[in-house]
Amino acid sequence: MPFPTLRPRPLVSLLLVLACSLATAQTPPHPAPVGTPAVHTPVAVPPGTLSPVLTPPAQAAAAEPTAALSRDARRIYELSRDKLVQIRTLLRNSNTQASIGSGFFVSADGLIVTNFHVASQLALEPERYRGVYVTMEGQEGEVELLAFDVQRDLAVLRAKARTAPAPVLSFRPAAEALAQGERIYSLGNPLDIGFAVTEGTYNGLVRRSFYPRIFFGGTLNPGMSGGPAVDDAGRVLGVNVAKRLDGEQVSFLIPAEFAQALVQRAANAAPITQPAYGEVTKQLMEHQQRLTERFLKAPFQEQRHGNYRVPVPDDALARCWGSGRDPSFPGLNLERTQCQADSDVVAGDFNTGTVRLGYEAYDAPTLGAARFARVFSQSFGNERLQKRGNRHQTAAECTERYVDPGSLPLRAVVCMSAYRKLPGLYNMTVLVATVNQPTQGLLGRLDVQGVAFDNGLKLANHYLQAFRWEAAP
Amino acid sequence: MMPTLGLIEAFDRHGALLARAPVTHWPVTVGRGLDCDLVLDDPFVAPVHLRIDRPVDAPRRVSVEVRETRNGATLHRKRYGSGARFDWPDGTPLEIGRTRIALRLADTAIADEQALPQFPWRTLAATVVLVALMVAAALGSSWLEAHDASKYLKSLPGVLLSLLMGLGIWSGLWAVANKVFDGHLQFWRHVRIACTAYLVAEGVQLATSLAAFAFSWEALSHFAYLLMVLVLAGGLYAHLAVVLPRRRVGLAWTVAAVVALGVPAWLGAQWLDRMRLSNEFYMSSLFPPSLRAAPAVPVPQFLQETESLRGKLDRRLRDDGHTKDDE
Repeated sequence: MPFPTLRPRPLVSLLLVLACSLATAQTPPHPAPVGTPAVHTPVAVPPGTLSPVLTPPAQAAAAEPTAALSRDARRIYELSRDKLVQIRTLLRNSNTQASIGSGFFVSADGLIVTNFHVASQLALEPERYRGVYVTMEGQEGEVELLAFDVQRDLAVLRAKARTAPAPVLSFRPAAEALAQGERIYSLGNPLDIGFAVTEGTYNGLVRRSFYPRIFFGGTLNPGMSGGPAVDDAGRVLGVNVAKRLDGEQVSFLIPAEFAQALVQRAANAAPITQPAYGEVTKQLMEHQQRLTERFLKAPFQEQRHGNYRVPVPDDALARCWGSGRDPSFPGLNLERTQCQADSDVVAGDFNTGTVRLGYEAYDAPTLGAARFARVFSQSFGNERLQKRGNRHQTAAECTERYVDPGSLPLRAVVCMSAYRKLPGLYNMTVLVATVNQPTQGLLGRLDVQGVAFDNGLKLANHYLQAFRWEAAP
Repeated sequence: MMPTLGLIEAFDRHGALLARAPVTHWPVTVGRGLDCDLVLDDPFVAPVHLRIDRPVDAPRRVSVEVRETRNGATLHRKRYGSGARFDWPDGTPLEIGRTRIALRLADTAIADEQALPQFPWRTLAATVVLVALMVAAALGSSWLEAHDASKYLKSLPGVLLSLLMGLGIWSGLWAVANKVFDGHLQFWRHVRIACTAYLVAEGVQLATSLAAFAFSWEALSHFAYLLMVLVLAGGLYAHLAVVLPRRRVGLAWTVAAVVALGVPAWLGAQWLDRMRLSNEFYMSSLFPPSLRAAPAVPVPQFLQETESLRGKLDRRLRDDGHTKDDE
């Protein structure tokens, strides 16, 4: 296997950036050999940035010395080594690697489970990319994509032209629930260095995750995406998917039941040879429908900022972080709140499906109305929007108006931009500025990614109706 | 000695005197020939270009005959060719070649003696008031943005200095141009123009954003920049008109043409580039709530209006030019 050279290639650096933004544990081929401190542990991420993200490749931590592994890990490794594969997507023209991940055989006729984000190029641009699997012995073969689940980030491939029956990893029965702290082993090919097993613990399901995810207290590295996580008996209990950049050994697995369900769906499916945007759109439609229903089902919680009452999602649905007064603005009390639902999904080379809310509450009794109005305007005016179209979505279009949900007049702006290849899906931003007090004010922002137009308006209505002013008694 | 019947003078395009001859007899000839009464050096003038006479039968008239010439003569923008005859009204300049001819007759009443100009107290007062207003406007605007009084006071001298220096340099450059083209510096006049333009621009900006806020006229806020372009063009015209006072009409047309062509061209480029005419996505200037006059509508009504985004986005999907890039 030709090993990465020291010379960085443009493609690689592009992918590196992409990979970082993907928030997944897929490895692009990366040029830095072990020992090159290409990227260090990410700097402490502010608590607001919560999405599970993958480390940029080149973490030298990839190949932890095997001496650290227990005897069990060694047994697991021996048990599953022939069932593991590396999944590569190659550019059809040049045969160069576009991305790599891991996978495992689940049926004798060669079905392989991996992540959707590993195989997304095969789904969306089959005319430009082809997929191959590589076994631990270096045996290589073509794969075809049979089915995928964008919401859970899973895909099922079939190894083509395989004569011998594939050795298969079996799933752990759903009835056998895992115990907190149980040892689990994650397998895969981190950073294209070689197959590895990492040991960790089962820590239950991730709180507030929109779709069930297992919290794996162990190391995952880019390239291990799609690899299996197995129990002590070598039965698959989950699929490696992502890790947190701002923590140590905080990784995530997709519960095996979803992989099992997808395998059943895929068994009789025809291979995907045309760009599958239709299917991706359909699944994202289901996702946004589910998301919208979750948000509309319950009224928002009320959060106080002075006399303002603003809507925040239920604690089970989103994490919120707040911060107090900003020392760079004396004479101005500023409180910030940021909430994000852990609901983003990978849709090819971009993420969507997230809901974010943010507030800035200003109170400046000593500043005077004119100066307050200037500060407030500047803060209201510096919101970022999709100013230009790109290949994924159009530039934003906005409407604006004074609205009054009851007790609090607001300046409201609704901006939407449409996805090009996901017809019927939009990104929506609602901006709100209160206009009821000369030296107090509140700015709000709601972002919903990948939502249908009508559902976007329903969410905007739900959001705007929830603003209130409670006069001091 | 013959009595002086009049005085004929020739000026260049900038008004400098080139030649002058007393008229002691009629007719008088003008040309390059040395036998003419008024001899000119202008190469665009014929050897004998004009013959000027006062007919005996009509002593109040001055009649001009254009002689053998290629370029003719121009009076009141009307051109007279060789052989033409016309009356020359008193006090009007007549152009031949690149030279302007004026005639003063002895029997014309002489205008009263003018008083020497007084010290221009009014102009001085206007200048002081304008500069003071501009400084006040600029400092007021920076005060609105300051969060901390003591920091603001500390920064005051710097702001003041840079403001006055900016004004001085701007007006100074115009004054230099003025000196080159017109012979006078007119520095303070340019200072007044610059201050006025600044104040008008601030006023227009304040008025548009306030009106947009009060009446929810978003379009006014989105396109306020076009009004600013007009103010800027007006200011430039005022400066240029002082530098080239004789070309005011031409300058006005030029500035108007630049605006009339430049603004649509810029708007067209914006439209082609991003399918919108303003870079402002939403009105962001907020004022104290008591200044709001527009009503606040119920949320459902607003969201009903938001339905219009669907069509706009469909158009964008179709026409914004990104689809083809992907194929």
